[in-house]
Amino acid sequence: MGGALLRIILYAAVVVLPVAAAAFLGESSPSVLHEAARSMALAGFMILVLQVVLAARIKWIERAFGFDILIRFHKHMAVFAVLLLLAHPLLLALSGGGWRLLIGLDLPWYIYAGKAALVLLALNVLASLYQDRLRLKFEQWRSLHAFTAPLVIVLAFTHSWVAGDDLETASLRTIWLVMLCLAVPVFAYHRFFRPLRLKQRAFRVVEVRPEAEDVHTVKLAPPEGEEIPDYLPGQFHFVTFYRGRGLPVEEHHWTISSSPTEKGFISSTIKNLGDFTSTIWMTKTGDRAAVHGAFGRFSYALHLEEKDLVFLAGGIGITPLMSMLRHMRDTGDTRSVLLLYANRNEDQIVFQKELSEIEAGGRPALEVVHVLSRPGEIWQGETGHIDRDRILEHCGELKGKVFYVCGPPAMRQSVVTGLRELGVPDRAVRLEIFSFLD
Amino acid sequence: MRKTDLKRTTTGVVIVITCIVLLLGAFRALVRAPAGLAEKEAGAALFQETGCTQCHYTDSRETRIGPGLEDLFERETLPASGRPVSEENVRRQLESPYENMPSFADELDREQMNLIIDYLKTL
Ligand code: HEC
Repeated sequence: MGGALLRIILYAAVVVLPVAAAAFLGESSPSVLHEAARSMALAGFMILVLQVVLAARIKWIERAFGFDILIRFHKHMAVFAVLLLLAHPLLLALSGGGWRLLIGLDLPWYIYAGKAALVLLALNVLASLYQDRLRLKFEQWRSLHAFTAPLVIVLAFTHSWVAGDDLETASLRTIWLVMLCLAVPVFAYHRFFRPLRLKQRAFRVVEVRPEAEDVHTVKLAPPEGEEIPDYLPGQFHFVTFYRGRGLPVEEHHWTISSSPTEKGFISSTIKNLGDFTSTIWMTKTGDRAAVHGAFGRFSYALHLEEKDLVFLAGGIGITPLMSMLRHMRDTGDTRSVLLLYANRNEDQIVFQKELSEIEAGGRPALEVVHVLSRPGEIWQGETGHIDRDRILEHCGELKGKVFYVCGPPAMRQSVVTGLRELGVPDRAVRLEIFSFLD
Repeated sequence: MRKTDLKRTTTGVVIVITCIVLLLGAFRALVRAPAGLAEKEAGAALFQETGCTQCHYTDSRETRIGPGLEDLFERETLPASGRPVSEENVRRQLESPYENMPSFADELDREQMNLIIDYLKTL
């Protein structure tokens, strides 16, 4: 947590740096509104540039927060930047610039550059927030984002460089140039060079195994002489399949279902959700896949002192938990784990056999409870959903237990509400929020 | 880090940044800016400190060493060179004087010259 705080303070300090420099070194005017307008633009620009850094999957930053949290922070800061940058022209108009600045047409080109940056930025943020409702596919949204984001920064840079009085001072020009020299390489590395490098060192698909209805495990092995990058059980990675045969080449992230104790391969267990994943079954042994990992903080390995765990899984949400259970099995771990595993029917249960083997093996001390919402006629086990009462019934004493929740949004929501009603403190609930866009 | 922490962190970061930005903006406007009146005083002070008063009266047109500068900006032409009265020509006098006055090009920066010119306008 200390590391996280340090990084947050660093972030805020960088954002306000040019405002401080301008306040002490720049020319000043006696209007508070005017100065507020200028300061907001300076801070807003810094946030924009730092967005590139936040999104670039830099391990040093990600490690402290987890990728899901980091990307949400990126999103919140985008909204903040829009507000600051919208306030900039409004306050300038109020502080003497007049409404001509906002609605006039005979304005210099660099004012138009600023306006264009603002409009593009706002559209970009709206597209990201309402990606679902706009029916943008992830890949479409991503291309759009990767195109508009740098454009916004270039326009904002030009606008401030030419129009900004503060940008006449050497200190601010230096900050601006340093930020540009930071953002451009980071962006280029993240979007072009790293993907290229990963493609050159692509993994090979060594097995595609059907696990359950519409679910396949894809096993990947690193190229000759290379190691699998370190990962924790429960983490996820980004994979781009290069399969040829007219199949789409898109980068997606999946949980790693194998355990780092399993040598020579890394696997993801993927369910057909109707999007890109509907092509997974067409993947063949020998296909290539660029792998970028590992990310996330959803791992018991980060909390080894906790000995009494409850895993609450819904459907394909079992995968990070399976990785952890395999890891516990292979390391002979003796902690106790209760797994409540919800599915629609028998055919959808993934890893059923291996789970009962681990349960029988006694390491970890695992108890598996399957809960089916629409079981077949011969089902002997529990029916319904994982809710408050079922958790209470199986856990007994809740105190001292730590809950790992992974599943579809509706299940996650009801489980989290249930746990809250039962008085389980937030800090004893670990969540994997797998989609970056909700 | 969890989602509740994220909310708290985001709120914290937003509040801290907004406050610092506004405070620094206000500081700049209220503390640093030589506002209206203060600006005139600053100009008068500078006129004195730089030594203009040694050679120029400001309350008459009589010559001391150089010509008196009362109502300077209400005249048509500058007293010695006869050039039209304008900010430009006064600045020119300070940077590369017409005849015997020392140059202040090294001593005063542009901002300070503007302060002095603004002060001369009030005479
Ligand atoms: C050492 C004496 C001396 C000092 C100090 C001095 N002046 Fe002068 N000033 C003169 C003289 C002499 C002239 C007559 C023109 C010339 O010789 O350039 C003059 C002329 C002027 C004129 C009229 C120029 C014209 O084109 O007719 C202005 C305006 C002026 N001075 C302003 C200033 C200001 C402002 C300062 C202080 C920064 C200043 N002077 C300091 C000696 C001085």
